[in-house]
Amino acid sequence: MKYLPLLPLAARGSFAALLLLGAFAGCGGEGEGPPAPVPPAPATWDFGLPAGYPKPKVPADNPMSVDKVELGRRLFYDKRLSGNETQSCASCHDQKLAFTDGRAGGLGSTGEVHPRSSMSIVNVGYLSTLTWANPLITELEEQALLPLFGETPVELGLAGKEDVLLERLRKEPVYEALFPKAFPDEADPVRLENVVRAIGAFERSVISYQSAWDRYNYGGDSKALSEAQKRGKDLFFSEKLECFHCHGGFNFSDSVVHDGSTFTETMFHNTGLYNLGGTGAYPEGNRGVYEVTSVTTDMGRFRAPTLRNITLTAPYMHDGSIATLSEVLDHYAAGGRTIADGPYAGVGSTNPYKSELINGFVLTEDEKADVLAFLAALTDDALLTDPRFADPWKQDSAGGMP
Amino acid sequence: MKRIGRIVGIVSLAGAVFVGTSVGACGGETENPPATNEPDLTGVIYTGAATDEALEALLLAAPKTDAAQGVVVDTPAAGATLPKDVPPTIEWHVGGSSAAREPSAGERFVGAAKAIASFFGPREAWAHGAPVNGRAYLLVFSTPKSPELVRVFTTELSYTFDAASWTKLALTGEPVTLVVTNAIFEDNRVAQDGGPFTGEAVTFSIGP
Ligand code: HEC
Ligand code: HEC
Repeated sequence: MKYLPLLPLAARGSFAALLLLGAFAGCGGEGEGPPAPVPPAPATWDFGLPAGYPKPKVPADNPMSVDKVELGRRLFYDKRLSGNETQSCASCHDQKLAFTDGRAGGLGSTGEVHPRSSMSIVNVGYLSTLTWANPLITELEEQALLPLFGETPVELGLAGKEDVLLERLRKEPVYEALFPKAFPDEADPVRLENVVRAIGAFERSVISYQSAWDRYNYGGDSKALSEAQKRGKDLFFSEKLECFHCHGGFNFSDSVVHDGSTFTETMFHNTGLYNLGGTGAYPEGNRGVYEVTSVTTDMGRFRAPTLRNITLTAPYMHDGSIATLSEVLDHYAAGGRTIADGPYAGVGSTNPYKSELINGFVLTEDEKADVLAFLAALTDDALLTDPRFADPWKQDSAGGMP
Repeated sequence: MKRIGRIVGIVSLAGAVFVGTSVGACGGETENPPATNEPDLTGVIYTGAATDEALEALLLAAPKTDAAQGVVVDTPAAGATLPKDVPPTIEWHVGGSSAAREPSAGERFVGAAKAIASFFGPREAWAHGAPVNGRAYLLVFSTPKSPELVRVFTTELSYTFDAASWTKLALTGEPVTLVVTNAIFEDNRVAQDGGPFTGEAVTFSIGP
């Protein structure tokens, strides 16, 4: 009940303050008063991953459980999570498109367009920072608050409507049963913190590990990759293309952390996508880490996104400004993109803030085809129809999970 | 703008708290014991994206036996006699993978062409490029009198001998035993539950 005085605050947007209280109390023993007894984490969750595949880091105060993941999946697909009940998380994170939306900028529930492109929620449990360029958002539980309550732009449009949301959820019989199961120690579990905890648990369960690349590289199945894909792999991992420096490791991104990892990498890079008027500037409102820090050298620096399922997540880059993977390769081959005219004209390859790893290279047409073939090997078709990640409300009307 | 600023501010505060609480040491993580003796890596041939750091990690870890994770050698077949003058291609798959298959006779010794490509001899160290992520395989070829005569560390699922290394084995005149040990790596370190896994030995002869 200690949250009550905070509610008006929360209504104005300080949701994280709610979370700070109690929700993320850490390992215990820090803080005042006797440490709360730490309940043993229920060992009821199995990520079901192949041997040697890293497991996501799970926050101590939000252990995984079957019921919580199921609740999170329900919420993720529930349109009651938008102010006008027209959108759910899945509206911009569609399973068929590896949980993206095919748009250059996400389209919110009130018609506002997000300046940035929707991102895959596959393997987000491994990320050390979330979203395209915000070093401060590190937990899925806090990230979920942004689409729910954010106002610039409006996505789900629930700002000021927390009570409305909880009222809606309380009326749903499925939730009446599921919230107490997911949060068994709580008298009144239908709370905002638990909404985002459940969503976070579901997101951590969405893992891609069945691409042709995984079968080859982890499974030891020599037939999983074609000869072209193997040649493309060698190019991708070569010092000529340099891709692996930023898109390396099991998740093809250099910003990962997981259960048992010894250090956290968080990296942001300027790839020379823009260079407005030769000043190094990126378009207003989309200047990468600079938007958060206002530090000049952070201009145009974005997180290297995972390349898993990349064939499905067009258009590409933070603003969806590149339509195809072939053109993404052209951008890298040129050492940065040149925009000849219009408001964004500029020679990206001479952007003063560009990463020194982006230097351009020459690929023959055959080599380019090989790299594209390799990128296609990162697509996990099983994920796109996996019933564990699909819309449970539709499954209900179809007679339950297959 | 103001709004974003506030959310960001709050989030940053939350971030700071996280650093203190959830990321901090929740205790109990066991440290790897310090390496007492450095493994000997001399003469090892590296192919694919294999690195010496990963090999060192593999050799320092205690191997496990797990049929599903161990390597099965497809070629040469156990008991086969391979021609002395044709550096062969060795092929394998992981026991549990779906790649188990019967190689055709024609496929068996197609290594000659590839061997020419490796005329300039094997690469004996790897410049520090991409760390190994995924599986890598240590092939150890031994004869009764010369244990570990040829060692190959690779991320590929086949290896074609270069002429020099193959001649080294052929000159012994003895039967050759191959054991493939594999491990799953994460940034050159053996991953949790990542082995190393010892495969079954295969013994073959080299013809006159
Ligand atoms: C209006 C479309 C839209 C809706 C609705 C939406 N998202 Fe997103 N999502 C985006 C966009 C756009 C981004 C990139 C945001 C940025 O970089 O600022 C994103 C980023 C994310 C990320 C970060 C992924 C990464 O790789 O860092 C996660 C996680 C996420 N969304 C989860 C959710 C959840 C959970 C919901 C529902 C509560 C949701 N999203 C609703 C459009 C949407
Ligand atoms: C210096 C680090 C770096 C290197 C090297 C690099 N990338 Fe990227 N990559 C990034 C960053 C950062 C982004 C996002 C940039 C943005 O949106 O402005 C990105 C975006 C991408 C995207 C679009 C992803 C999406 O979801 O929209 C693809 C595809 C891609 N890179 C492939 C490659 C390939 C192939 C190579 C090698 C030729 C490569 N990258 C080299 C950092 C790098």
